[in-house]
Amino acid sequence: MIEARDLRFTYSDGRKALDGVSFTIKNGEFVLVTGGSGSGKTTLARCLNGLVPHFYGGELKGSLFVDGKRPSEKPVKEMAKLVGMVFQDPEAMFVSEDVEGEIGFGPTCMGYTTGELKKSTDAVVKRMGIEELRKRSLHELSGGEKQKVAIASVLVTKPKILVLDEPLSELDHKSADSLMETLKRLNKSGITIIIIEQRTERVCGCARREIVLDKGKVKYDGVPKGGGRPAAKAIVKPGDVLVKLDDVSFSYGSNPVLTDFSGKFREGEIVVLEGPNGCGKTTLLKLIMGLLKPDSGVVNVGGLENPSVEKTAGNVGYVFQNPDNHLFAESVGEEIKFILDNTGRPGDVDGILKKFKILHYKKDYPRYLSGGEKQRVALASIMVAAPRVLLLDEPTRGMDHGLKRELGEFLSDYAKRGLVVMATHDDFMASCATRRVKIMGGRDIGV
Amino acid sequence: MEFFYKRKDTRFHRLNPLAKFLICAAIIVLALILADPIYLLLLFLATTLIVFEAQIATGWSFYMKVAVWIGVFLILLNLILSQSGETVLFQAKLNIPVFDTIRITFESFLFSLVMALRMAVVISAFAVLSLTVSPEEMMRLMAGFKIPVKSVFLTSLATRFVPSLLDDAETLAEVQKSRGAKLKGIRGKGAVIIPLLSNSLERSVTVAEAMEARGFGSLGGQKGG
Repeated sequence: MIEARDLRFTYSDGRKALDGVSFTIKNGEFVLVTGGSGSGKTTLARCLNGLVPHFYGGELKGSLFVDGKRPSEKPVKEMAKLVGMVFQDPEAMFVSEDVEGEIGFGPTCMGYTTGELKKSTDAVVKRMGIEELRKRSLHELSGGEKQKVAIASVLVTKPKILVLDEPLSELDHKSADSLMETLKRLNKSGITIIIIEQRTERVCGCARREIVLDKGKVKYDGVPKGGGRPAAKAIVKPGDVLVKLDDVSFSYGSNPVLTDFSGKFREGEIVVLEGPNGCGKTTLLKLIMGLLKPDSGVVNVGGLENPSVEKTAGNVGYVFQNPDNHLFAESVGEEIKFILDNTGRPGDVDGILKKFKILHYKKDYPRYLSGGEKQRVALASIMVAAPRVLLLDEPTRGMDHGLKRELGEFLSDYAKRGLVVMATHDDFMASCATRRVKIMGGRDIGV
Repeated sequence: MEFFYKRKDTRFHRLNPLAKFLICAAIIVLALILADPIYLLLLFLATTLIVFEAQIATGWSFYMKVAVWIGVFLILLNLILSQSGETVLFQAKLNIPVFDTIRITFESFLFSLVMALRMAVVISAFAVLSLTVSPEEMMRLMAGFKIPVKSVFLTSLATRFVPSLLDDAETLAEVQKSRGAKLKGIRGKGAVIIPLLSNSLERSVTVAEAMEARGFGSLGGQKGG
């Protein structure tokens, strides 16, 4: 049982993350925790195993009991036996080269003997249905498999409570559903599951309770109600063909990704690329950007055949999956100006900052902003050059429904003067598409 | 990353890590003691046999490419610096203090060839060791030699980050190129290096957090890691 009474927490840099949170979670519950970026979801998860305040430092007030223990008074390593935590990016928590080594890390830390280790590893791989992955190297695994290994490596020490921080954010539909099935099964076997997730449409069927956090307070606690209303669809008549692909093939080494792919993308379109992880969505975006050269076939971008990235930069904008990868400058203003300085294109820095509601951050260091704000800076740093083609790769990671709707509205407006091509697994985001392209086995199979 | 350890199921991979370590160590020690080119060639042949048996030719050839460059450099350096020997192949007067004459002799040529061969054997044995012993095995091995587990663990963790770091650098270069960056000179490269450093620092905090959440340091001493 987890019991929180008026829980308050302020990080040592003065950021108030939790502002009077109270709830009770009984053993065996399946709880979905949602809320916008900066609402305190992750902080709440960190409280459960004592990472807050032990690892992060700061001021914790109110009371929290997890299975009768106060995490703030016990060392994290002791809470680790009770609360298993799976982090957002499974790759970032891996410490080993292969699956078995990864699963063995926790038990080794807790002093399991070789016999105990083998027994519990056998049990956990069976429980997670990953027996065939045991000897594999972690690098070779797909996103969904990595996520399952991450869960197994936490579950192996038999915690009573499993906390997952946005486990679905990078998974395609099939892997996401398979993961949710696994979680449902674990829950039936008696494990309490607390899942933080933005892709609520995938979780609502499993969770029996939703806690919505807003600015560190509980805004809603009850039956899962799911996501909001998608953004209005743009109704624009498609105009000129801006990007045309003719029989484009591409392979990484001996591994073919796209095979004779053809398609036309016009001004006024919002094209959503769909398909399982690794089907070639990102490759297609990189081919249009000129970051990759096709093995055969022609990528025509605004009249240029197979242009290099030097030619497309500015005319074509590419927003990468992780906004952190965009950010390097000392201030938000400089970050936005970078593309203008490089390409010599005119642009209105203050205008774009105002449009994305980040003008007041102009002099701030971009990496200190919250996830959603960073995403906006990354988008603004591309949009300021007014590219006619905008490419987005999984832009919604960590975004709540409000932010997604905002982005959808922005894209609909943008498509009046240009073309948007977006790779996403997110149903909510995909709903603003004017056309969906499903890639399967390296080909466009239509929708 | 073909020059890192990859799990393979070959007879050599299945050997006890201590055995693998001893084989490679023996080859290296012998190469340092012996000076006869025939013995050195035999030792080199022994390492290539292992490479063949363990199917690590691609990774090994990467190391050998490096060895060839070091070898060429070693031979040139030796030819210039070692002035002993009877059979002069080439001689010239230079107007530089200390090196007033340069003599390249047949003996010093042979000597530097042997040196290069010796170095090739050593690098080849190292390559075999690092391509066939997993970081975990290495960790256990080092712990057996009474080297503190925590420092061994950190070293192996650091090597695990190298591939992610390379991936990251590639992505960052792509991001900045599509923003029109030229990535030339220190200033240009900053657009890649700065986020690379920040990402690595942030990643290290995440790993530390995740390790703690999984009970790292539970054992009072450092026995279990």
